[in-house]
Amino acid sequence: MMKSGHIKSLWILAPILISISSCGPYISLPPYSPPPSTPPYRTETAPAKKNVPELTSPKSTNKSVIANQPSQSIPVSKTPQHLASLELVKKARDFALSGKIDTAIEYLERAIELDSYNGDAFYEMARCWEIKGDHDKALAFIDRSIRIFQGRPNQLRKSYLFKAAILRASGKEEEAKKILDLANSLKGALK
Amino acid sequence: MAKKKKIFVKFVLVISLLAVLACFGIYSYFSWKIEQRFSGRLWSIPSYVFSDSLLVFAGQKISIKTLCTMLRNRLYMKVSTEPERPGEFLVEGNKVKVWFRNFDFPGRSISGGKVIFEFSSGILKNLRKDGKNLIYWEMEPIELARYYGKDKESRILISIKKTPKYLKDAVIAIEDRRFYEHKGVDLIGVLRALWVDIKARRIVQGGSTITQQLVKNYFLRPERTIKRKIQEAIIAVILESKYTKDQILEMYLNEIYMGQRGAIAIHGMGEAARYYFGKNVEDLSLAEAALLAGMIKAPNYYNPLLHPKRAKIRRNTVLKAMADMHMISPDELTKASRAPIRVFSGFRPLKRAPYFVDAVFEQLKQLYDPETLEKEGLVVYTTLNPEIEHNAEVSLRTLLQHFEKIKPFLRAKSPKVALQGVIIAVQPKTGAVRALVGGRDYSVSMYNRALFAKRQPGSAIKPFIYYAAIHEGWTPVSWLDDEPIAVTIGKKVWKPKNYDHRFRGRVMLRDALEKSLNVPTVRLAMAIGIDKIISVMKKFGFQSVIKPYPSIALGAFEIRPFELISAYTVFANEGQRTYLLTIKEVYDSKGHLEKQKHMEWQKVITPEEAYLITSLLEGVVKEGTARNLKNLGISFPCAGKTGTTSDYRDSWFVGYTTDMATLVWVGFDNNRSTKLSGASGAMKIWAHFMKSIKPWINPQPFYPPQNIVYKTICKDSGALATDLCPRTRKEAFIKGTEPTHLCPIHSRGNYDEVWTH
Repeated sequence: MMKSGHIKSLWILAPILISISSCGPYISLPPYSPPPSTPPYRTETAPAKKNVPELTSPKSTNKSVIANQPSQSIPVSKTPQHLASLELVKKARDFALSGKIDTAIEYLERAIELDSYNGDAFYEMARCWEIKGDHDKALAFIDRSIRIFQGRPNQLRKSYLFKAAILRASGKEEEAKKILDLANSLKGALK
Repeated sequence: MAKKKKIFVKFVLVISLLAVLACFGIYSYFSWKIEQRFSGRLWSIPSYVFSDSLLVFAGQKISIKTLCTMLRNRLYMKVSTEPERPGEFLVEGNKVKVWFRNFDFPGRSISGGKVIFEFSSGILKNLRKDGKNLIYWEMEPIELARYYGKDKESRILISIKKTPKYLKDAVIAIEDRRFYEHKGVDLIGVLRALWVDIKARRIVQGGSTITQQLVKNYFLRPERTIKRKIQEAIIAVILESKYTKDQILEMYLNEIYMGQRGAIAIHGMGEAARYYFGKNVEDLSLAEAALLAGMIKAPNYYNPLLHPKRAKIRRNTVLKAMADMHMISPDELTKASRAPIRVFSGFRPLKRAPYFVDAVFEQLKQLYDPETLEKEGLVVYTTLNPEIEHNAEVSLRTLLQHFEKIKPFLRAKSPKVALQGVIIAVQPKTGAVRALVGGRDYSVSMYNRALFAKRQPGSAIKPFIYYAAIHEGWTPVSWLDDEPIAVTIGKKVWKPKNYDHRFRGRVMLRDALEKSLNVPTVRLAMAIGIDKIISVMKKFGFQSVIKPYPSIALGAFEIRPFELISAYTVFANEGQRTYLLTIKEVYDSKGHLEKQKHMEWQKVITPEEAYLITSLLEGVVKEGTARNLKNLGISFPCAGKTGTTSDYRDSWFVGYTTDMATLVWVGFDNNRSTKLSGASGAMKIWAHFMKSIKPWINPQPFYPPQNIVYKTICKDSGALATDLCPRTRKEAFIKGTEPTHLCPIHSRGNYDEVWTH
């Protein structure tokens, strides 16, 4: 059993340790080349293709193509629910600091119920589960925070760094390196 | 002579020795009996089941009326002057002043205090406590039910330290004024009672001390014999030698019978304070304490809910006795004697959210043996939101009555065979079951259809078929054949038809789902492979047996409503299946945590696949079979699917926002036709319910994940739109599956080719 004092110091030191580790041996590694963006999905299969009209090369140029919509980043909500949700995250942090991890998780669950896109709540949830030693749960929640923080480099980097730490702790060094590189690639965009 | 004297001395010695031995034996026997009784559990305490606590926050769209209902549900009393004690509230213009009581049950502690709620135009503008603005306030959970044993005793234990002095004094003044002076039996008290009885020529006063009364209730049968009286006195004396006065008084205050609540016996001052005044014992006023003390003599005769005048006279007798003993001042006597009898008379069912509670009990029975549940005072905190549950019950009842009114053939001869319905509302991110209504009227039918009814899902199953297609590489613009099809199953030929009996030649995948077309769906399922479809269903957590027939594409198999809503959470939670929770925590009576459940996810599909299905189901709401939702007042972002089965036996609607997934089913238990489609039946209930719970939800847009790209496509060809395409729409694709060719129909120079198609 981990004592609450240890948890407290882990809690405070975790981001510092992660930041230090991010500047560690990985810096000298060759730059990470991201995986191909195309997911392993097949395009239309036979029964569907059969009905698709034969596509001819149109004479009209790209000019006539309507611009594609870029992937949306999730805006920060300004609803009363969001404010209350943030307050709950604050309270959860206090509980986590005092070693009451389960109580912290309860508050974070409430924060998520009030605002499903509260990335901080998912980030803290990941930290709580990591402290409890459940890497899988921690990964599930940090992934959700990463999804929510897209377009917000400061928070996104923090989530990437924590994800790398979780991966390292669960023995997935290679994956951790890749995520760390993603985090480092955001350094330029930090505000 | 000397010899005789010797014999006499010996005789006396032997008698004395025997007497001493007998006394020792009696003392040892009763001591052993007391110890045996007190070493175990003192009382059998039922298990308590509580709802979740509720957050109220600044900016929330709730009215004063809603807040007052919430307070009444939590046994708060409305007063016309400034609240003087916890458990009271005052409505003053656009303000509601509430003095919250402390919630202090094993495992949970929520501080009370005076909070002012300020409203403006149906919005809770501001919350203040001690002059400081609050962002939110946590309201205490509601007691939903208790798990009683055969004796059906209800009891909330109190400690002597928390018991107000008024209450202790009142009980002593009226029941045993020399309590702190005697040693268990009060001879002076007995003589005084005897004298009073002789004077009155009837039994007016009993001479039993508090200790004797405790012994009578605790150790002996309620018979009036000399033997029992002697036993009572002996045990009382021994008890006093073993326990302090405060310990005895605490046991007495927790043991004493205080009336009936239907078949349930109210025991102890803690329970009585809750039941009669909606208060914690520490919050009782002098008048209330005196009233409770007065009731001990004959709890049902002096019941303030039924006989307020009698109760008032008795209360004032107690107050007078207290004043006589200088326990209260003359001023206090005057003030308290004039106070009206104010009791909590609101609606207090023995079981709230009965179908939900039954589901909780079922789970508890798997975790604990019945004796533990009945006697050990477990405290169970659940995920239920009482406000959402109440609205679900109201929506179901109201709309079913409405359907019966406008379609008289739906009326049944007996309530037992009436039109039924189910509502299950879950938080898709955390898995918390917020409401569960398993039938129309629990008092008529306790059968929990939400958990146990096996019904055909009809088209409500289609999103899972379309997920399988997306997973296999189809896209929302893939073309599907909508032409007659005949499937031979054994010796039978099955010819599925669309709801409108029309065939459209070919349709895009999105349109097929939005319009819930049967033929293209069957063709799609057969193209994917029925076995694959079944394995997809298993992946989503369906546990019912599904046989590999092509008709499964149209939901022609039986599942339980709870399975279906659980599977839908995968779409609502971006590909992660959330385990649905009803029980959050279980504590023992001393506050030790026994069980705890947190939100738990299991990755089932990718966020991109989940998003595409959500996008298609948003289309169902905007353009498809559920488009009438906007006319029903649903203006927030949501996705959903209707479902209707053969001969309109089942009407379904499963819909979700970012933070609430709700399933509604309507049908008859005997499978009679309802003549209600998913859209004309269940969907209307869904809309009514979701509008009513708007203050408790925060629907936000469904934002696409990173690997989703939007392209503008031509509705006629499904290819990338050109500026010549007359009918276009933005369509979501998983990156890499988007079309790459321009529309062949409306491209310049391709008109001839258009006509050749």
